[in-house]
Amino acid sequence: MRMLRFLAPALLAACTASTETPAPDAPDPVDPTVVYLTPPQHLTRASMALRGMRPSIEDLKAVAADPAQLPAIVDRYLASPDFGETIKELENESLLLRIEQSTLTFPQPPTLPTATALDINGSVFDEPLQLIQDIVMSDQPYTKIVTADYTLTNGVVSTIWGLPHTGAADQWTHARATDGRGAAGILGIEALYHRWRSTGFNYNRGRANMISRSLLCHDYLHADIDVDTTVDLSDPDVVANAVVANPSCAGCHQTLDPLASYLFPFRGTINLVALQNGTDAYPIGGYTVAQETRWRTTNKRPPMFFGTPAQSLAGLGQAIADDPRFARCTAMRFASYLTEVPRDQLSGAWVAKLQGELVATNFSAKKLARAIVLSDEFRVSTDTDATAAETTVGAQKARPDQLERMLRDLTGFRWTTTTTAKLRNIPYGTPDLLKSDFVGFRVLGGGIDSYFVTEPVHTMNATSSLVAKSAAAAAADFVVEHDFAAPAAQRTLFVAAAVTDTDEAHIRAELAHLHGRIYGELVTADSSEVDDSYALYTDALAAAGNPRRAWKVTLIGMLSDFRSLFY
Amino acid sequence: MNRRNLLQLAGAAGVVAMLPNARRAAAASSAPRRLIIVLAQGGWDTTWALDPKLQSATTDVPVGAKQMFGNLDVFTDASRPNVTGYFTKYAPLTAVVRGISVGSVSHQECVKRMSTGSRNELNPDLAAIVAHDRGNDMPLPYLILGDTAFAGPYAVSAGRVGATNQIIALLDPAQAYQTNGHAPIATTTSEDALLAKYADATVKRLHATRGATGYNRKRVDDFSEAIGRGKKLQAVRAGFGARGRTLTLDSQVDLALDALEQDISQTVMTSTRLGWDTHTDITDQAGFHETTYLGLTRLLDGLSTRAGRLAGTKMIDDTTVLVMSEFSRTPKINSTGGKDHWPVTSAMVIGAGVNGGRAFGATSGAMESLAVDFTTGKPSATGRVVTSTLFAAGVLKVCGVTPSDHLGPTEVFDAFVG
Repeated sequence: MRMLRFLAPALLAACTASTETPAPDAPDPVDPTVVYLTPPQHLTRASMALRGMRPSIEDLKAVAADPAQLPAIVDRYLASPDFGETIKELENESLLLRIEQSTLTFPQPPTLPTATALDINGSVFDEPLQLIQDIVMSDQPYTKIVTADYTLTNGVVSTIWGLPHTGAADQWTHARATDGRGAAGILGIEALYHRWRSTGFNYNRGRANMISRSLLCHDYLHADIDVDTTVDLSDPDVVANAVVANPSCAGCHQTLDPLASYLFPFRGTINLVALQNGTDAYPIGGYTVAQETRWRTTNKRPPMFFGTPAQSLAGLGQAIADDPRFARCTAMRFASYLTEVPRDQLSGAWVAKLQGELVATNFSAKKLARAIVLSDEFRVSTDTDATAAETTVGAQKARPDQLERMLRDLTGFRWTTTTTAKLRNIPYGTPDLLKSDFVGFRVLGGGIDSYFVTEPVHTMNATSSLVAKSAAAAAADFVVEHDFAAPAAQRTLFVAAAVTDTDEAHIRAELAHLHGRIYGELVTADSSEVDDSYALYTDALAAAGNPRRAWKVTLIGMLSDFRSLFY
Repeated sequence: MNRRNLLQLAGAAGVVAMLPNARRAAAASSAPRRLIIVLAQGGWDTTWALDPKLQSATTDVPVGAKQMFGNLDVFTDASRPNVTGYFTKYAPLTAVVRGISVGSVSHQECVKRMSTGSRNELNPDLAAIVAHDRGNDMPLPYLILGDTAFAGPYAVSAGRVGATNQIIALLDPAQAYQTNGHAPIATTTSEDALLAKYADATVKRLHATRGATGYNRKRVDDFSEAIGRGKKLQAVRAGFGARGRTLTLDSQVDLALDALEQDISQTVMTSTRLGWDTHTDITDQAGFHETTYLGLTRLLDGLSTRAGRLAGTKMIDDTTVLVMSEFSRTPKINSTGGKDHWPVTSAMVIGAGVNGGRAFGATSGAMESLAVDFTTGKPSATGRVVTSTLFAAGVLKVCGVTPSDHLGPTEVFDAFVG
């Protein structure tokens, strides 16, 4: 329904001169029941979606005074490192790399005796995400994610895979493999295939589907097939014949298996036990060129990209980049992530428009993100038509990663802890509790662990509510104590009042500031919104008799409020 | 006054204390069934117990032989005493459903199909559905102790405990994580009341504005509801044990029994947490079966001895257990000594509402699904194959849920429904 309702305006927009300035909050001429966000609300949503952070008061005031300021502010957001973090999170929801599974955690390299499990997993599985981030943030064509002739390494990645690394061990720097794997971007990164292992006689089929699903939005598993159980699936020769000759198999395998054939130079699985007991040693990387023809003795299907010949891994990357499905899939993934609308509910016309813009801008992912957050589809608030309102996503929930950045930006607080826990018998490290699955609360807060939990939860439940309150309590405690001790000019949140002030005028002024900073609401000190917060403060003060405690309770309420957790 | 009104009016802790009796009273009229799912993720080999076969040119079977437990035939061997022990005690309560066609050999895809009865990962799984329909007023209707689960639109009713049971760090201030070397601030009961009042004011404001209807309204209501559920969970935190505890099947069983008995949850998803995906050594299935059936015996022992909702009953009288794997393994052993993925599987449905003590559905000697009569569950040339969707519909029916409400118009394989 939502898709159809957006079809007309999108087509109309495509046929008229484009404008960067969002229209005022007026009825849509084509779909008059749609209600749009106000410019400050729009800015807040754009800021959270692109950066996982709330906008500054100054920016809120700027767009309130002149909505035409919004695109320039969005451009600033797109240039910030926080957008780079968002890009990694966005890509991870497709590639599902950020895992904390014992069985896939590399043993501690002897040359890195202090490396923690967080260091190792956070390095190994982030390498493809680092490359994509680098490409997007430097505004190279997004197609480079499958054609780049370089990767990024840090000390751990370099040690494990044997790739060159310059600079400090904790820094990601450009590096190039010299083993002949070619310019294939993330397709040439071993970590992708370590995460997506190929076992037994699967012959890289799962990996091929991962590539197809993630980069082309073509998931073979969605095909409606009837598996022929007369085929002996334990006999690779029988399977090799069936995937060619058996109609129920060939429908998918005709293209899947040739795609898989590109991946034989990577090991099916890496024997981590051998690394642990010393029968194998680091570095273990390597694209074995000699294995490029292994398809001849395994699946017996020459490498090919959906019927089109493409030479080696680099050829595969270029073929993907040239496939119109790549641009369309990119547009869909970005739009879905930034709006929290499921891919299959996105307006087809809008996706087509975004795809066209991506291609027209030489595959600028920044411009794609910009087009999305400045669109009418993005700034929809609700719909007065009850049926349409059912599918109108007018309240987006902050993912745990976003919540972490938001709290850090607002209060200066990082919710970390020390732990004696071990993963694969390696000290786990010092986790940020909103980013950890093993001991922390990423999954309990509605996020994904990229392994068992692969879809984020865009609503609240008991555990995410408890996570939100606990995080808010820790952040509130921190910032009140900090601002209580800090000189006025160095306070984080308390700019209109000191923590110890108790007179109504100062308290209300500070609360008005907090409404702007935390909720993106520009309200006056005597507004009804501030009345509610003032009541919370005064009640808490009456209960505790201590202004510091009263402010902590007030901030717990505000930081765990719907207006803070959603945008 | 209905149960929801009661919950809204009373304080959380007080209501939790009342829950068992209240639920027992409600049970008299509606008898909502609890559901525990045990997921053997990775793909078990059904020839090791549930679907006895003879060694043949088409099928490799382990050491052992078919053994009858009443009318139920199971493949057993003296080297696997836990399997024998389980069926010796609980075969009369156990229905084995064979020949379920999953239609894929991909782990993720098949877990989704068996769990949800559908092809869409955004749909809720069976436990989420039963929790929503039959126990949504509980503190945590759907407790996820295992790894994979699909809450879909009922996410507000679901909750995970975490890989190391870290949920307790959110429930019990004494077990909360320290940050920067000191314990986190804990709010008092009176402060919590102030915070609830503040949140409620926000909810009212949103109901009057952009949260008045539709998707937004649901998110606002979930926000409000989740706060209440969180408080109820904190009131029953003693049942969640210690932080850092890795949840083996036995640990999950104990926690599941406690959560159900205390009416914290209506349904629980557990995982055997075993490496069933035995591509290279099929004999690993022996140990996995032993561990699993030991856990199942522990579970059934608990259900059979703990009090049920009605006076004079046991938990097993109102609890159904579903034990399943996303698919089975190829009939033949491959060249590396393992077995690969096979799109036909078997499952067990145990306990309340189940016509136990026999098997339903069938496979051929080569492990192909056979068509069955949906009334008798016996092979029939004029019957149909039991698919994962039709099987899932039957499980929903056992639990007192109308399958078409969630799976759309569908046939229901309900021969095993008692």
